[in-house]
Amino acid sequence: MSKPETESTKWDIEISPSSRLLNFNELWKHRYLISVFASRDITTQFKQTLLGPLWYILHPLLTTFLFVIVFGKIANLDTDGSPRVLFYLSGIIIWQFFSSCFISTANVFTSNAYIFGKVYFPRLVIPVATVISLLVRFFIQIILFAIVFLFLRYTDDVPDSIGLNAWVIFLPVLLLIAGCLGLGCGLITSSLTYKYKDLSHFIGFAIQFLMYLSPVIYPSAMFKEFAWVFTWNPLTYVIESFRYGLLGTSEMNGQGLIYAAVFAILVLLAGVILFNNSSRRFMDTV
Amino acid sequence: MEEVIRVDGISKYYQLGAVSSGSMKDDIRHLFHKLTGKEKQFYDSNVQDEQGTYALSNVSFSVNRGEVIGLIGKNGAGKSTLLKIISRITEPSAGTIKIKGRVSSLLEVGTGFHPELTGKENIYLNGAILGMKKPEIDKKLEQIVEFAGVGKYLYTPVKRYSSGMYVRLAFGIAAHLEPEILIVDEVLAVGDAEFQKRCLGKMKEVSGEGRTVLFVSHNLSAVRDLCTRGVLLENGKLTFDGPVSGAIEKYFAHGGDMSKTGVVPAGYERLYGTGEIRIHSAYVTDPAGKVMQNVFFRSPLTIRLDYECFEEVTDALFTIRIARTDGNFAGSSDYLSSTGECLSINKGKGFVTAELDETFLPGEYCIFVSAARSNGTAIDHIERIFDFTVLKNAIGKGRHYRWTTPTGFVEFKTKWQIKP
Repeated sequence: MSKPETESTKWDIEISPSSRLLNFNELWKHRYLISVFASRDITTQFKQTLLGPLWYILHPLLTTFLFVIVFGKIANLDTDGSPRVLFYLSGIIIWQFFSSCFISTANVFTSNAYIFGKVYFPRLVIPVATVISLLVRFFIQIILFAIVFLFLRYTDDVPDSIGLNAWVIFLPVLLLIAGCLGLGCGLITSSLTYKYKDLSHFIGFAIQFLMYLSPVIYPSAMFKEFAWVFTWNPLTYVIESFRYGLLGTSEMNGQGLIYAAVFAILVLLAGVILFNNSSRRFMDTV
Repeated sequence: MEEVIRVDGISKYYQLGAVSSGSMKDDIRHLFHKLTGKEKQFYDSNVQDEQGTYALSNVSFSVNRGEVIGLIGKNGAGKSTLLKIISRITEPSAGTIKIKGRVSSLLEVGTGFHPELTGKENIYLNGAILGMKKPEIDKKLEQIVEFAGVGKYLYTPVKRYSSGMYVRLAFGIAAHLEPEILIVDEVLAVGDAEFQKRCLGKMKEVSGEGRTVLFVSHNLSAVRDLCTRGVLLENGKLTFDGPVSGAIEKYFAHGGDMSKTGVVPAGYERLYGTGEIRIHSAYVTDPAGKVMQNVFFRSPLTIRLDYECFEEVTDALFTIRIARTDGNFAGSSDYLSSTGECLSINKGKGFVTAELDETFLPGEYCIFVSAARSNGTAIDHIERIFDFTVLKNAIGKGRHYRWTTPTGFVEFKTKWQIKP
């Protein structure tokens, strides 16, 4: 069956055991599918719940409330000069964006095996759609933050020095870094969890641990002995710059941010390559 | 004729047992070897080593535009694997496939349906998964809803649908895809008879529009009805590629001499069955016990089945199926349904005879036999164990068969009455 290839025969699809490491063009072609999956993720999340999307708001509020009591009132931890509620709320919003990106993409293979086994589309569609649906959640929570901020400004004694500043225009960059980091970590994990199932049990714990190594509950300046942990953790710069933009407290470390960006890109790249590699093997192993 | 699919030397190797031992150490060593180039993977289709097996080996064929191809073969012959490779769900170990045009593969209907989403939301979701764009779905929405008959329930979550509605909606979406190449796997196995008829009708329509269809099914009469060409896979190898009737003929003819003598050859490879009982032979016999390959029209048909039992079975039953050699089943009978009770079979050899009170019309027939438990578990199963021919002549002064071509398989037992 080896006919000579003529100029006129142009094939649309070629299937061979070769390795395609990156193929963003194909992902772009499936952008409608990405949007459909993203809206599925959002709409199905709250079906059959009483409060529906209100949970997007309640969840960070309740967590903040908890943090204020445990870490603020009981442990009396420092919050770098910003009001406790705003400090925790801002930390929780950006942290949850990162950690949800991580967790919900870490089990892509096992939780979508039923689709992957029946239809072909670039497997990366699903994790990308997940991140987009989380972005929507993030924007709702940012609006919540603004409301809480205004509320406190007029009812409580939030000093005028606390508030938005020009650095807030970096917000999209910070989001991008956090998203890339979360997605990258998730993809790396997902390409391992389908083989080593134990890992998925470990992930929840690992993420919790990571939160304590990031300045979510306390400012990084608080730790003198463990300063190196925060210095090497790229999330430090993302979270602190986020606070700096929104509140004007904490610090803005340009160099650190560049480090975080480079780190995020490398993690994402490694994640995508590993992910694509395992998506080619996945169906034969489950 | 324009070639739209070219399958060239496709092999698929599966490792048996644990794919990765699950130990990270092994995997890391593996990776290290791979990076340093010490380990090379060879895909030699003649080797079937201890660790793996070839689901497909060196399969090549090509498909022209507008052809409707039936892919047939027994369970485990590699049909599904081939389909999965063409649908890009799994990768081949060696070889290439080239495809021209938009492909839709339906290995299942309703892939990705979310129970909490409404019918309409699921149409968009499933349509997008199958490769449709929004404007296309917008355009087809009305037709899909009408086809599935779910108009009233469009805004109801599909988890509240009856299973019939669910399948109809799922198939409705699939049926309104407009691919240039359609790949279908056993979708027709679901749903009731009326629905299956509708699916077949839709598929006929699709193939009538000059689109290319690749169809895998165990329903051989559907394959014969729809397809223009048949491709037969046996043990991962392509053994026939040509007219569909030829493929079906060959599919049944694997038995070789067995179908003449009715004796299962030593080393015969069974497809399935737990093996407590092994069927040794089965054939049509005359009252004296002689093997009959040609049977006179209207003469009684007795089938004798010899078996050996290796382990006692208390709820056994034997089944006899009779088919035309072109693949259409004429009918079947099993011990449990006929007598209302099961057989208790002890260790050792034995035989059963079955006398069929039925007049088969002249033609070529073959016998399929199996032994099973009352819950349906197959103990032994042999396809086309024996062929026999029903002649047009009847014995003695009996009524011979008058017509050139018989209609159907059996002569109805009929009481005619006429009131002039």
